[in-house]
Amino acid sequence: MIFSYFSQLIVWLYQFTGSFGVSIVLFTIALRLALLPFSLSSLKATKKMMAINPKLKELKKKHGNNNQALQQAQLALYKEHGVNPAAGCLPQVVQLIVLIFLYQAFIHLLRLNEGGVVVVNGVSINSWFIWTDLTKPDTYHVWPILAGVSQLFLSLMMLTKDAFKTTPADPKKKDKKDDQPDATDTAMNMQKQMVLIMPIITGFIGWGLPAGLSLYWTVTTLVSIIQQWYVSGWGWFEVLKDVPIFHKQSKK
Amino acid sequence: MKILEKITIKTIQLFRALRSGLLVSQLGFISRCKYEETCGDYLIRQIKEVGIFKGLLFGIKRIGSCQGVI
Repeated sequence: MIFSYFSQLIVWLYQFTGSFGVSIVLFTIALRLALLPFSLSSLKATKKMMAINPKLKELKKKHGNNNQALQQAQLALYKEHGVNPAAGCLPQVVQLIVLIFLYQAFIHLLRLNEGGVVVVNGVSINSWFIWTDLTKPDTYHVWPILAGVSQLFLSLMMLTKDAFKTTPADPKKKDKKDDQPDATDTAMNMQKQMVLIMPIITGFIGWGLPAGLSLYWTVTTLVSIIQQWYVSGWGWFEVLKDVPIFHKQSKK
Repeated sequence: MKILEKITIKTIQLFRALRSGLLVSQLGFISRCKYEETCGDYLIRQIKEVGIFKGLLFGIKRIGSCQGVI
């Protein structure tokens, strides 16, 4: 049922634009626009959480092992800064299921190819877009590379300016035996490690799958880049402002 | 630390990073964890402190408590 709605939408967009590639691009943008209210509120909440993180650390120090007092103080802090209570991990499971269904539908549609023509609901769709047949892996490898590069760009934007700067170890921390890992620091460390891994995985997956999927991946990542820029700026790329050549240009 | 614990912790860390990278790039957002020490961090800490089996049990209990299942 989900597939029939999905394919009908693609057919409708194809009849409107006359290009399978443009239909995929428009479908991706429409999907992301539909998800915009969720994404903006989530990204804004993350931004607020990052801003109040030092205060959260202070509260942790203050209340120590008294979890109840800590939780109450945290709730008061969230209320004061207008941070909505988090929904927990169930929405993430729903998100992952949606993503799996979406990709299944895409792969199913792209495999309906019969000699360069995709036949959906009786409508013949020409699967060629610019230089490639979107139902087959890109022979020039451009779409998987674009998907990987856009993923790398987004991963760097999700980091802070100082992410790769090495800081001297805190001697006080060494003495602490029961020092718990800070959630934000751990997440940031993992993000740093994933900066290269995620684009490589993206390109590797795109290599063997139909080019239409890499096209979708590239467009949706570009939308995420715009969204990320709107909410938290250029992220790690802010470091370029300190490079003399960029610094001079920004002064002009 | 035992090799099995190390492998489990690395797998959890890889899953978390892939999940967040994938959801942010593909859907543009990821829902925030309810707890200040996230369930993933809690799970890793428990595995380090009490071992793999008890740690996993505590971790599952914590994830269940997040949605009021346990």
